[in-house]
Amino acid sequence: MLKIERRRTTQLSTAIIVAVISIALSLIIAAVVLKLMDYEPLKVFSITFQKTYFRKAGILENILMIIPLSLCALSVVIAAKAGLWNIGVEGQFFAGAIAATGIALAFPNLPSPLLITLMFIAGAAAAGIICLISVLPKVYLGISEILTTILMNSIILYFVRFFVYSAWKDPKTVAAQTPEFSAAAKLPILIEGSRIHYGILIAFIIVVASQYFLKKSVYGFELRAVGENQKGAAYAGINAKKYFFLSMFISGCLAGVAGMLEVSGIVHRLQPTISADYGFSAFVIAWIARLDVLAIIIISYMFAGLIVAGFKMQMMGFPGAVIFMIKGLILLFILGGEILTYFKFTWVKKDKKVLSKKEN
Amino acid sequence: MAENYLELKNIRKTFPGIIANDNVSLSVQEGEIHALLGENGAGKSTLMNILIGLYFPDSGQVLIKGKEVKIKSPKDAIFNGIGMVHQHFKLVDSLSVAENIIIGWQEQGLFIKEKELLKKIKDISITYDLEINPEAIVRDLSPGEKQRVEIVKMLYRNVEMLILDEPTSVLTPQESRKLFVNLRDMKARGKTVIFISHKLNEIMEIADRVTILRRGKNIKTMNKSGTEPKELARLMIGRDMQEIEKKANNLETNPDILNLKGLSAINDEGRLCLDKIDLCIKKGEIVGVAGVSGNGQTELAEALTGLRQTSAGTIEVDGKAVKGSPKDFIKRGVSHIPEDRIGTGCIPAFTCIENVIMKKYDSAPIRKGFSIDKKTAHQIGMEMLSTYDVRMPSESTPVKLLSGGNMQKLILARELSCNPKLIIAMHPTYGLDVSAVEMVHKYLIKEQEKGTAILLISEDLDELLTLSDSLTVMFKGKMTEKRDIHKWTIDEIGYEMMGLNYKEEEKEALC
Repeated sequence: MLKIERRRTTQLSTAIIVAVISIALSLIIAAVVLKLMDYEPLKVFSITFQKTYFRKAGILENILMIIPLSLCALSVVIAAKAGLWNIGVEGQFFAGAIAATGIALAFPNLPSPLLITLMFIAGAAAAGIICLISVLPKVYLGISEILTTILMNSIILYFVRFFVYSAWKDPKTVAAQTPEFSAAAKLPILIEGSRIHYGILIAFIIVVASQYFLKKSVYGFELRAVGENQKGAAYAGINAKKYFFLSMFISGCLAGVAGMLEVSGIVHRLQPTISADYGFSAFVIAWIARLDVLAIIIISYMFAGLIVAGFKMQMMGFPGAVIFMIKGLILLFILGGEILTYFKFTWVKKDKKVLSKKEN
Repeated sequence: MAENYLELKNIRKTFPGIIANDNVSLSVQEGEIHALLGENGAGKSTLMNILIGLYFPDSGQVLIKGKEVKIKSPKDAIFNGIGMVHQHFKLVDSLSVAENIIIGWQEQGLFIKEKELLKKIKDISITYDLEINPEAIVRDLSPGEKQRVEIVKMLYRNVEMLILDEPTSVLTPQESRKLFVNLRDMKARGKTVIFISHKLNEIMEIADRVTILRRGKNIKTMNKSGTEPKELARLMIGRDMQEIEKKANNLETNPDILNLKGLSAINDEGRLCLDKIDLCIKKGEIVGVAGVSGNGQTELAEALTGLRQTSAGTIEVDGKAVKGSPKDFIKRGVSHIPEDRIGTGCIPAFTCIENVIMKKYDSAPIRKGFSIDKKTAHQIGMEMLSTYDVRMPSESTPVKLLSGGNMQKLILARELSCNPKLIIAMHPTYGLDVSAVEMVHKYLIKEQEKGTAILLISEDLDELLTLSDSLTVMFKGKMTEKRDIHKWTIDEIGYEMMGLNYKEEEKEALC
């Protein structure tokens, strides 16, 4: 008889073994598919793998992508710790990008530090306020924040189109984008020869600050208490409403900062394609990292590799659909494997036989 | 000697980490009232859930009238003549009594023959003297009436054996007496009854034989006539029970700590649940609140701790009016031992330390600037946990893994160590084993001796009678006048619990 038991605790080693097996299984299935398409799976994998994780250019690209991924994942975490689901990270990312772009285009001649600070504040505040608005219906009317945050995504993505096709469209090109920012609005490059900009330091500071906020501060303690048990927190004298607002505001701000850093540090203009689904990937990253702030950085790096590998394969001439499929397979297996880290499957011999033998 | 109706042989059932039933055997004779006695967690409910097909045993046999049967669902159990009335009723609130009785019963056919059905229910109700109105909606019934519906539901299914799980826990003393008459009547008609309880006096009153379970093992089965309560208690808990010593207090001259005037509040459904309540508690006084659950006790506790907004009236603590959030009440020295330990009383996923400092983290010395000083928190938390003897695998264990008794000790540690002026204690011993109950009582008495005023809300009349200095009863949001504990009789309390205003001249009419 197969018996399923919930594990009382999960060992780190179990989690790692499960993750490795999950990835191996997904690669095997991907290999079969590639073989059916007349590719050499091993060759494809090794080239992609090398280019992504072992060549300097690949590694630098991965590191660059940690910035938006980890900030967006943190955004998910801060909301989740207060017991809320912020599924509007993608939209908030763009809200931050829009606000930052607005400032960059309106005041192109301000001194650079001032302009970038303004862009930072505007990006964070815009996304924070939008996220805050999304949680109002929950607090006052009991409408699930999952719905409101998802719907907010569509609204903002349409705003992006409005700005790039109409209000702020670059008159010089036919492409859907705004004019390029002035030099003052661009974050300087940190590592010569790569695209890694000063935003990585900002992201690093934010990660450390979040870790302090959640783990050490009085507010983080109260926020987590609200998230774990709203009734119990109210009983201990904590105002749950306050933390719903606070966590959602911070959550939005983080996604907004990610959007601001992307336009100011890399793209230097607003485009509808600035996000490689960062907001949605962030969700997966946050949950694979079990909402642990430090684990997010590692998982973000791995995940960045997955996205970068996809770009590399596309450059090698693979159809986009195959790349999506492989990415999907890996995620599916990792998330499926999660079950193994929470539950234990054991075979139990039927006791009846033992008993009847005894009786005989 | 009568034939064995039911026999359980070497039943074993394990859950992750615990052995709920360790080779338990039980034999119940046809037509007897067999009591199953044991503490919470002794394995009574698990054993009965196996019998009615909710759990499947890891090993062991179930024999009915000498034949081995496999019971895989409650329906199977009913086909084998076994029906159970659970402690928490399994009724659909929005349906009528008759609908509840036939729900899930397939012999009914596709269409309901209403006349026949009503007649049959009426017949059963008359035969067994179980008064119910088939057309009433279950939501409107009192717990006692709901229990009768559950019993009729089982009799309608022609069960031979009825299992009652802690049936008196929701009843008034008078209703309990009526239930016992009903049970004897059923026995006289050849039905077999298994009566689960941990109340010794009830077992002495109703049972023919009694089986005692302790820590998943059966200790002994014996005839009631051959035993006495003290022996049963010893067998049940493995040692003698401690008597609680309570000093007589003279409270007349003490100042008021809590003063309620015309307190009213509305419950979650928008109905009036506290109706102009007046109450005062003096320094060092324990005031007991009796009543059938759902008559406003929960809301009273919530209102007195800031968890529920009041619609009228005033709350004065130590002479000053309090109104507002739970924090305001905590600041005024009101501690709260909530009825729902895990849902309200703690943050289940937080560690023992984090939970025990839940009322101290926000001020020095644990709070330093914006941060929580982990070291100081650990030190203070450990001190509190060891003072109240909380047993835990480690201090970083999540509280949800603690036993009920240890969880309650942790809550007591937190609530009592902030030197409260007033304690609102709601069902403080519900679901605890005997030694944990003794411990909770000891701490409450100790607090009282320090001069803390205590409002003790409980459904356990014995507990109220031993601990309280004075008592009041709640019914439908109203509260009777507070009276000295010695000026109440059990009967009077019972009548007040049913909402009947007890007067001398009515006494005979009601009896």
